[in-house]
Amino acid sequence: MILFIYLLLNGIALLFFIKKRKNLHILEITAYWFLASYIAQNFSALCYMNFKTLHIPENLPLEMSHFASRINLYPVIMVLFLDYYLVTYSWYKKGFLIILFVAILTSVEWLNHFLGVLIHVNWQFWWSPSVWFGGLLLLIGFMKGYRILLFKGGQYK
Amino acid sequence: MNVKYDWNEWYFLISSVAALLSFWPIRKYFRPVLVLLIWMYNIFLVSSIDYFLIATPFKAYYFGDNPTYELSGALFHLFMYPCASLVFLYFYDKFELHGKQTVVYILGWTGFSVFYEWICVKNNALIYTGWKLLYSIPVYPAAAILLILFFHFIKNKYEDLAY
Repeated sequence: MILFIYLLLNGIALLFFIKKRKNLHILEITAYWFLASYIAQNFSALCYMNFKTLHIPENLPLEMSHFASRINLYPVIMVLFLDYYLVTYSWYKKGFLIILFVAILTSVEWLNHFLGVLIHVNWQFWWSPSVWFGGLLLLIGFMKGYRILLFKGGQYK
Repeated sequence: MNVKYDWNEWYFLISSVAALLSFWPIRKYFRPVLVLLIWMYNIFLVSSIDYFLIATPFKAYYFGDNPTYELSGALFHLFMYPCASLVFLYFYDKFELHGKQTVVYILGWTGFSVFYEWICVKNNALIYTGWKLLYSIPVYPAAAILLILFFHFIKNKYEDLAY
């Protein structure tokens, strides 16, 4: 049941992203997706394997639910954020967008907790938004540098 | 975490430096965007597969001293695999391999990769807790084919953008 919910959630998020009119180039989406997934996986891996502040129950459907989230759901949300961020010009709208997406990512993380997919142990709640805020800032910084490299033109090799 | 700086850490370090040195002479062959994308693709792929097979849902092997996420394992993700993939693509692209040549080339790299994995096991850099060397044999050609497909995809998209 939990796995079904996650597959549905992942499918809806992916479908929404595919159907949405995108502002990012496909080579941007690819790069940001890889980085976003790497951020989500490192966050989970370090806390689960080393610090023991996150616990994933040894139950295959729950583990597969978490796997789907870290390679699809989190990256979709984070790339969506960049897609909107790119066409947001005023600083207060950018601030609102960051707060909104930090809230969405934190909600997904805590949905994992309440559904028993990723259980927080000795966790301070403020760590969650802080991690996602840091992740989004990292992505924005990367996007700025990557776009310069990508769009400077010239032959491909 | 319970990490000792012993031989397996040296092994990771030496392997990563060797991979970087093998990439260094060809670093300017591909455009920086393509290098970056191939680099990121590799990090994404191997970190996803390793987390999947080391920690959750499977516990089939681990790197280094114990099943934690060690810096030495991250060195492999960040340097070893991307450099090896770029060297692989360099010869593939430079000699414009097609058809049977590509098959032979992939088989050659598969043989080398399985041999290298065996050396990792012998040096206690890679500890099997359910995995077998035999299982890796189909993984390497599959990864090579995926890498070639990804390379053609990004090369075509970048050419469209550049012209």
